[in-house]
Amino acid sequence: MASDDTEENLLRSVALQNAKSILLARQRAERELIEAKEALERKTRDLAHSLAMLRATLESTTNGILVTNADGEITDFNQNFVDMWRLPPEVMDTRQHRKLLEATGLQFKEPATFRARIEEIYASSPPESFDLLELADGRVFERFTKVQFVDERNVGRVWSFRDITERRRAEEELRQQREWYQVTLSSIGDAVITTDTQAKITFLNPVAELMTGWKTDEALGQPLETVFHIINEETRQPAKNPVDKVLREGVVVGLANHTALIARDGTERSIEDSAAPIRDATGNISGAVMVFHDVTERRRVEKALKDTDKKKDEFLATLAHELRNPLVPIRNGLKVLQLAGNNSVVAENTRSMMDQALNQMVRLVDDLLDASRITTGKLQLRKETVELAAVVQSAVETSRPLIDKQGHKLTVTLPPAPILLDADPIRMAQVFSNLLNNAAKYSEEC
Amino acid sequence: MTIPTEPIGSIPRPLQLIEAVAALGSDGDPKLEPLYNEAIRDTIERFEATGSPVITDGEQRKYHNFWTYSVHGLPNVAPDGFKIPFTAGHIRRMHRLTAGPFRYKRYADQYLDVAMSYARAPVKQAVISPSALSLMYPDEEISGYSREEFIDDLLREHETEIRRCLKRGAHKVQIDFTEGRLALKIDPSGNLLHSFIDLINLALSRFSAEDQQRIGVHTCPGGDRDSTHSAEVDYAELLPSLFELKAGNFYIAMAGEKDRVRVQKIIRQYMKPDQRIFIGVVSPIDPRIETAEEVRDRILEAAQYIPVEQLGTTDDGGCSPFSDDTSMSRDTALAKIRARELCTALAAEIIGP
Repeated sequence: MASDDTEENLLRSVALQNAKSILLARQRAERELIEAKEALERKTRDLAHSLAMLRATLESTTNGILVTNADGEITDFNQNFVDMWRLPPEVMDTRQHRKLLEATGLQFKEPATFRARIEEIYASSPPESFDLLELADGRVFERFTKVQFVDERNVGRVWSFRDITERRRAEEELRQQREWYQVTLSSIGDAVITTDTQAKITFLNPVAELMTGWKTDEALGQPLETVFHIINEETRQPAKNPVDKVLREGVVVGLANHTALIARDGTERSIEDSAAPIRDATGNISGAVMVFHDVTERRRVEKALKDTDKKKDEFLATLAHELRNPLVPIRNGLKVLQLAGNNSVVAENTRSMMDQALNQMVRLVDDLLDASRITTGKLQLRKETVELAAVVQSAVETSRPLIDKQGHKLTVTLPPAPILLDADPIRMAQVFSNLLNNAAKYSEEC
Repeated sequence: MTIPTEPIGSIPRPLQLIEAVAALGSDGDPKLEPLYNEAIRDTIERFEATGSPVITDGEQRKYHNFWTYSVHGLPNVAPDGFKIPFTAGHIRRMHRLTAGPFRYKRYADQYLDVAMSYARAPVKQAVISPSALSLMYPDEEISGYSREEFIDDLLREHETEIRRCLKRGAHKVQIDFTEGRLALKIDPSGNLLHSFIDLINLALSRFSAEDQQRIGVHTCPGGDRDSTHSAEVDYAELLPSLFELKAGNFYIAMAGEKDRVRVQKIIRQYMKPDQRIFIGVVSPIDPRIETAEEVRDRILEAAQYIPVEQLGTTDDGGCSPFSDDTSMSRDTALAKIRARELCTALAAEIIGP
């Protein structure tokens, strides 16, 4: 090294050069400090803004909020918390959660149970917890808690309380209402099926269970067409499901005519009724309800009535025909009596013929008056032992005028020995007379 | 009323250790290990026997001194740094940096670790100031390693050393800033001192206020073989700047001052409310053991100028900052320390609650 003087100068030189470098370092540090300070000020402003927003949020929520640190000290709360727990301000001044619990605990029938649950939460420190609190005055609170983490460090817990007393009451009313509806729907005689907006079954009443063959627990969630299998009973083709149109268009849809429901076991029932949309409080469709009933018996009766009506018409036509037939010999008889003069034999024969025709008419009128016989379409037979030749003679006499008028020739050949019948002579005569009349009408002239 | 009292650090090494180091020439020799450990164990045992509420390991392992321990043995330093002349006529040499980057060879927390394994009392740890080590960079710029880079590295290493000591549980970390008055001697304008203060503050600024309360700064005119390197520099030049340091504790050599009252008045004028002032009441460079009355009176005198709630006592300096210093015996050093402790308690009783 150099001499002492030189070395002292060198030391001074080094020291002073260092001083310049240190000054530069200091200036750099000061710049960094200023930048850090400005950044901190920005963050502070942002933080103040965030805190203001947080406070506004805290106060605008309808929930009661309490914030505690890991030592059980209250670090924040909102006015709703104080109001819903009806706490005097001095209780909050303690800033001690456990002191607070002494006041809030008094609002429970069993304060010890309430406080024990809080201690359990403090001891086990679950990430989240949920409890339903039923206060002695009937109010019900939901309590939700969540651990607060800052930089992955547990710094406390947020306790959030919501007064659900009114909601519970409304839910209970709704439950009762739903139960009432279900009981009602279960009690009515029609079948009822409801679906959601996807046409999945949400409800069946007992009648619907009976008619479809599906139990409620099996049917719930099933597509409607699986349970409610319908066909056109005339074409035997699958019928359109009305619920699809209800959900699509929001209109009430009636089932097509001749719709038959095929139950799970294959039983077929004629049904009729309609489907309608279920709308929520805002008017949106939330599902569909279908009400239907078994009309199998009614359709059978209707068909029977129709058949009966038809038979009645045929009967009346027959009856008119039958009434008209005896009139011809009576009219002819009157003409013969005019012409016969004093010929008693002719008169007697004519009178006998007219009497016979008149009896036939009386019988027919009797039948006509017998409503039950007309309704059922059955005429009562008055059977007796009668000779065939007499019946044929009666029929020929009845039909003679028409046969003659049509220019036909009638030859009657009877067996030599009498043939006895167990029959209604009038009806038998009518049968033969009808045959002869028809033959006279529809045979060509000789 | 209790007045806290703390040692500065070094206690003379056992002669057996000094001779072994002189013979083996290096602290890397494994034969030295048991001697070092025994010296540390014995120092701590005797330190605790004095009843000292806070102890050190006597810097038994700081080879070769309080100034160069952290860089001794580095491949990029040479032993031909600047000379520090002492009034006794001898010199001490600093190390010179020959290449970058600058890194410590060792951090003082390794001494703390060993000491705490023996100690029951709280242990404080002294570390060298960055301003002292800044003089390692030569006059000519090192190629490829600027002075600015060196200062940055130096600050980071110093910060690291303090953090490690705090983390290990040091009761206090004391920055040995014996070059404060030396700076004024080199540059009477005060610019150099201010740059030293700046440099230390650049490091201290990186610590929290809580950590700063566990950090102290020791100033003295240098003490070695019963002499100093800068006692002639007036404290009045140093103290106003000294209290700008962002440390919670100041260990100020006072026993060796000619006009203590004047200096203590200056301290009162410039000290800050959150600073505790440990006044040196025994002098390691004074070979005799101070009497109890003498020490007691120094403390009572200090209490007249420094608020008692901010007052503490200490030694003017380490009793043997250079490991080969045999000018004072271990017994004398510990006796001085015991005198300081007893008289501090006595003074506290006299001052009363």
